[in-house]
Amino acid sequence: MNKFKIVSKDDCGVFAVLRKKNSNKISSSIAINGIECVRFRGSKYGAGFACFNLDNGFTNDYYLQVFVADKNIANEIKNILQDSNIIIKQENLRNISAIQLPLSYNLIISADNSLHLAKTIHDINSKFSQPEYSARVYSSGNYLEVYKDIGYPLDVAKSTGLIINNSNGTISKLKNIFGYRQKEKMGDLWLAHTRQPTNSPGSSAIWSHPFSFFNTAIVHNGDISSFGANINFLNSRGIPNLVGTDSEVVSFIIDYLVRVMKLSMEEIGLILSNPYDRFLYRMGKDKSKKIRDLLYKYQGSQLDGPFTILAGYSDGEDVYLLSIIDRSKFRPIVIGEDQNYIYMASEECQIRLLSPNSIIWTPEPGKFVLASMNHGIIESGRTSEIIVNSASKNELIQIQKITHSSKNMINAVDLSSYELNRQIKIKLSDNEKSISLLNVRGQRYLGVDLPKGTKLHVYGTPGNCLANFNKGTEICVYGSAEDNVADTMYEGKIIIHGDSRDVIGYALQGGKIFVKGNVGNRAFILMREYEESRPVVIVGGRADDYFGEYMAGGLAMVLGIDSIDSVNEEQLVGNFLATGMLRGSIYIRGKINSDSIGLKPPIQDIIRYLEYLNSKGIITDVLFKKISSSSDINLEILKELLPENAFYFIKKLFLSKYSVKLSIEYRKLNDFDRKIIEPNLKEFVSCFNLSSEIHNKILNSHYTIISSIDKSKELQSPTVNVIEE
Amino acid sequence: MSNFCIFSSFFVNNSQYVYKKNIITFLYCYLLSKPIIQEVDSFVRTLNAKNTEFWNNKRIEHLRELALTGRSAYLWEDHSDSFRILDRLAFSDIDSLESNKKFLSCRDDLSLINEISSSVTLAYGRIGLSAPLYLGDMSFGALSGIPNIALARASDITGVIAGTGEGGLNSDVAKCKRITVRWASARFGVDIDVLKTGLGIVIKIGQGAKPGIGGHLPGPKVTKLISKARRIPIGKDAVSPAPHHDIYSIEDLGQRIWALKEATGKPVFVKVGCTNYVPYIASGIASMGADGIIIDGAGAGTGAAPAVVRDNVGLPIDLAVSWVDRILTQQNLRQGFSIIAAGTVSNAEDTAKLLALGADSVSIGTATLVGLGCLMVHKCHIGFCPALLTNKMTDNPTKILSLSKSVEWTSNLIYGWIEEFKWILKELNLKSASELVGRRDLLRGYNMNDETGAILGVKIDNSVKTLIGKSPSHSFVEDDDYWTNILQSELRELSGSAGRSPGEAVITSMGSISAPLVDTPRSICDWLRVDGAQVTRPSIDPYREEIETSSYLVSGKIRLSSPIFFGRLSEQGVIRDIFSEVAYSLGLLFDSENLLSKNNIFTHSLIIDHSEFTNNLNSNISAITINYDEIDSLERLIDKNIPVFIRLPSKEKTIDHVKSILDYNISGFIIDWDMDNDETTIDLAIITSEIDKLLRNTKIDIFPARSKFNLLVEGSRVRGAADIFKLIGLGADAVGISKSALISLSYDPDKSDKFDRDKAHEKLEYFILGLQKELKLLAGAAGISSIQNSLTGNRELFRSLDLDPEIRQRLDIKPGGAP
Repeated sequence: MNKFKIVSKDDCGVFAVLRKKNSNKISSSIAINGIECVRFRGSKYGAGFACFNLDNGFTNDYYLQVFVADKNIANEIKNILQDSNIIIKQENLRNISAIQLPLSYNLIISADNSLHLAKTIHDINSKFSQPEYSARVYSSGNYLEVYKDIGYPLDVAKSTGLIINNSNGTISKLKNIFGYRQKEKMGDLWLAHTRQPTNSPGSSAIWSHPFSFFNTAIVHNGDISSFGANINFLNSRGIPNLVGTDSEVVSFIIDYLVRVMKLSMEEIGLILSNPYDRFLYRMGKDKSKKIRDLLYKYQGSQLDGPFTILAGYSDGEDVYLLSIIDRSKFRPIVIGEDQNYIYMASEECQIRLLSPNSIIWTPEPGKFVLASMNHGIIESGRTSEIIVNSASKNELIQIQKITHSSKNMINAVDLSSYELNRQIKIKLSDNEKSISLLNVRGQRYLGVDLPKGTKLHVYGTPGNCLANFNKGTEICVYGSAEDNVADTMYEGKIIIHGDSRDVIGYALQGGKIFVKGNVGNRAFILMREYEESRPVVIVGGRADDYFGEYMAGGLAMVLGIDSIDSVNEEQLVGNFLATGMLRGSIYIRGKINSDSIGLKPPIQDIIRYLEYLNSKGIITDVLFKKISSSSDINLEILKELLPENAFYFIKKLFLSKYSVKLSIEYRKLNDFDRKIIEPNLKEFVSCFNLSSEIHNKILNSHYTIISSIDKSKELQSPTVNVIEE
Repeated sequence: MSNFCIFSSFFVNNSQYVYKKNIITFLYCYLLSKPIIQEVDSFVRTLNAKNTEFWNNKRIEHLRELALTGRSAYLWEDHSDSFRILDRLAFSDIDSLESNKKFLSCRDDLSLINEISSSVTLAYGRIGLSAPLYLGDMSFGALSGIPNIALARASDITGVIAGTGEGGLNSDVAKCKRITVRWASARFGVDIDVLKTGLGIVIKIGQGAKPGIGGHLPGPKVTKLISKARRIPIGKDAVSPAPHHDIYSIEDLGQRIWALKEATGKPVFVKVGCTNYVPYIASGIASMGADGIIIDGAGAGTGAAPAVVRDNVGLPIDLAVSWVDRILTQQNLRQGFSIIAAGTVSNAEDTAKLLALGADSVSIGTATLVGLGCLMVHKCHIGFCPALLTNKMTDNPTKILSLSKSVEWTSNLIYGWIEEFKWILKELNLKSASELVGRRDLLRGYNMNDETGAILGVKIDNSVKTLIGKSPSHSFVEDDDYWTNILQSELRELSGSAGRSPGEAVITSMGSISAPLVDTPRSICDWLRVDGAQVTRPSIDPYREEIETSSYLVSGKIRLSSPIFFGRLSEQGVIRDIFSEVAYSLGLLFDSENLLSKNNIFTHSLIIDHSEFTNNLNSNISAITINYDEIDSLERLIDKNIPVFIRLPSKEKTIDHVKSILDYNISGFIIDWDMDNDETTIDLAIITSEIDKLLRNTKIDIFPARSKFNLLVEGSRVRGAADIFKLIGLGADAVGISKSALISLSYDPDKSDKFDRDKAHEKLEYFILGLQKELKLLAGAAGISSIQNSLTGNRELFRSLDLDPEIRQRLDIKPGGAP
């Protein structure tokens, strides 16, 4: 019988750091630390780094890196290059750890034009791919070197020569990395990746990230469902030979669009993030037409399915870092910025480790984030101007420094999730009721199955699955929490002083959650109430898409305290708010465009139907113009303005057996609302020491109030008709 | 007694089948309620077509015999007329006739099988079973309570294991020991205490009947009792999200596995639907620390599923098991990790074959319900089950199943099954069930192609042609057989003609009818299965999330709300006006040949013939078509700035014709399956795929021809959403339908005096909206959010089932089951 043992298992991790114009070059150790910090997201099946450096000496030459099976193959490649009039200036061959293709053949070459070189590389890749890979060109840029192999990031840094062993040959602890390399590798931009393969094996480094072609390199976390369409796109544009992972296509697509099609990085961000057609109208006619034309022209290059992609590119003048997030933001990503550097990472703990005071934010679903060395952040990935969150304010960092008595304190530094959870249980068995965890850095499953009445104070950034299945524990996080907080929580209280990322309060069935900052996507979906158990959640900042989806009870509020005095009213939540909501109530401060609530037919379809009604003479020209030019067409407006028969016709576009009728009001809180809200709000305000002035402003604001019109309560229990003989 | 007559006549008529033990039937008929009689009636009608239900009388009869007697009945059933791959496999050393004869002569002498052990262990040895049987996860709510308890108790009695499904743990079920509890996407009825009950936890990612689609308990079945168990409002459909929103990848799944283990210390199994990447998914699940995988194949039972998904998404279990076993072994992950095979497991013979293919255990769901009296009425979702298995649960039910009888029947079924299984092991000269696992060498495949044999890892013997797994021919199935009753009634349901929810995807339940698993495949599209997204990527839930069906044609000049147009109709008059109006109101096109009438104000939605256009130069239309042989007329139109499509038939020579006109200034091609229909006409799927490939591989300037030309395909034989979806996957930009739309209206030109124009208009709109919803369900199940960008030409989303390798290669589709 096998022994039951918990180990730490998890995802692909990505990391990127870009320097700003006047800052120092970035050392390799920063990249290694940034990715090793989430070692638990990867596996032994591969990791890698890409370093962009404008002054690395290859500016007029190309740096070619090829995995080869043996020395003879390297010689063959050399001959092919020379036969193609490519001048080899330097070459070396070194061992890596992978079992297949165990050598890396590195060359500095000079070639007349990139198209010719591209063809030669494709020829080499295709020649040495049958019957099995005996060679593969994995990097070919002017400003870029790639270090990839199988193993964890630290192993790869070692095997590829990115760090050098100290004399006794031991490399173990992360914190000692700085000491190992005598001369660190420096760059303008680093990408790093740790891999958890899903669809391809981990025996050869050709499947490790980054994937690179010319001066583009990418790292990816996800699984691209448009893969087949993307391959068609590449093949039809003369890019035939792929190693067969979905991630690789992205590097070829970006390289093709930027190098061959000469598109800007903004345009590429727009194309690959594939914005929803239905929301394009919000950008105005000209811009939406421009985007539509781009999307049509490059149909097949758009990405679908879950992905976070970090792409680096250099044109020789500037260095760009582009992050593309799928429409539903299925994979995690956070962006950080401090005085010197811009960071993009899977988890906040990666950035906090390197830059405790940086500003950190999450991009919106389906957006892209673009930064460059010379221009800093170009696209933040958020429509809102306010991206500073409460967690990045200094007060939080101060709290982290508070010393606690060692009796009920655990220093989480260097502890794995498993070890930390064990230590918590040991402390609890010593009759402790309240425990403080210091220096928490991404550890998962905290507060899972703790006895009722336990209090946990978490200083730092707790990892995914905090307080899952919680039945009565109180957890206070002095920092930001990550994904999947309080899944299936029944009872208890969660207080988060910073932000919380995606999917907080999934199927929450009781207890309270107070978040001072923002929440990400799919917050409080399937939250439900039952008899006396009624969950309450209050978000002090804002929320992204799918807030309260299929909510079946409880109270949810979004306050936007940071913008409470702002003159320009911003929408505090993203799209698809309260889709399929069955019960309970949602209060969002400020006005919400009804187009953001629920799932509606695309506006183009509605206008087309109105045109039909107009042509048929069922509605007048004046009415048609009035409705179709309105910024907010919804079922209620149509019901109000259209004649009865016209409304009867058009409503079939909206209604489905599964759609629910929601009551949407925009108004100040009335006595009934106050009765429900006030006690909870009081608790919220005191949790975060908010001023009474803010308290009053919150109470006196206008809210969009969403609740379901639930007639089902009146429904009689149906009976079965039985024919008696 | 009249009710009984319906049944007896049905059983007799259907296949000279004499129902030996009609006690149970008697009981059901006694309980029949009025609405059900109509349902059963329509069911009897549909069953008269051949090969339309996997759970045919032979299988049902066998299971009932086990349930009533608790003893083995016979070993080898003759299913030589079945399309199922598992039925085309046999143990090569066994002559089934001889073996059955021998068995019947000695079946009462149980001492002969005393020594044979049917027991197995699961989850790295942590769970021991008396036999490789896992009673499938059917939820409290989908089943009506008593069956839930009966399955759990029977598993305690017989020493197997029962899954409890998503709907929460009934207190009587919770008292049983040999159960697993379910962690599903809506978390109905789970909390930490429930998770700690039972022998293990099952994370339900997907199910075989509808991979990529969430659980669904229809509103009428959400009674007070269910509302309490699931904490949802009464009477509202309980639709679980299609994906788990904490599991968007194999790594996220690992996170959930460890969170559950951290909290409970129990073994964790992961249940998935059987889809394109299932070998890799299994390897991911094993390496993420799960204790086993339950792979649920196509054709598995369900309490409610969109018909289009059930019949087109996912692969059968037999194709998957072998590679899952081999990949896990290759990666050193197999030892101790359990593979549980599910989906259409109907007897001990199936059990033995699946174990030989590589499973450790099978899961049976439908079979247990058949043992309890399921009649395959396919209406579980309505909540009036005549067998009282899936009817809605009320506080004061008038009739309920007898719990003690149910426990007895289920236990009997299992005992009988085990006995048969032991006899089979004896016939194979094996001493224990575990010796059979992975013994692919014992099996032979009959009448299947070598590719399929290689996927199964078995030798092929094509010398015996007793079985019917034919290669698809290019020729058509006769028209009458093409539009089956089931298909026609589904089309009518979309439009609301059948009186159900108009404009909604058709919902069905239980059983399996889809081609080529059960029914005769009628076109190439029938051999193609759609991927179901799960674990490595989330499926997208069209009830809650945006799935874009809109498509742009002609460099973005034409927008279609769905990639659908109306193809040419032979009917004239008012029906064509309705088509043009609906094409306009719903943002589609109508390939109408002419302007219809002078007063037509909806010309903007029309594609007309070039000769009609030259007569009406000022008409405001979308596009014109020119037949290939009239291409010279193109010159006269060049300055008109109107999109021109070249019309071509679905024939081999069309590919050369397309090649010859790529430098013309045209917008694309319309391939018409009906055009010049003769013996050289070939399946539209092949031509669509070949032209798509041609356009992609031909460059015009620096761009591929594919980005300049649109490919529109149409034909009266395009049936519905599944065909449209598959043709787009093979490269079409939009697909034209005609006859199916007419069928949906129940339009009969001979009775045109009764024809209600406004009703027909409304029905046609609903039909299109319904198709749009079905397209969204298919796209969402496959994990794509944009049909135009992500589906067009994306063959990776499809797999073929035992399709002639030559055709498969022309389509560029991979064979199902292979990694």
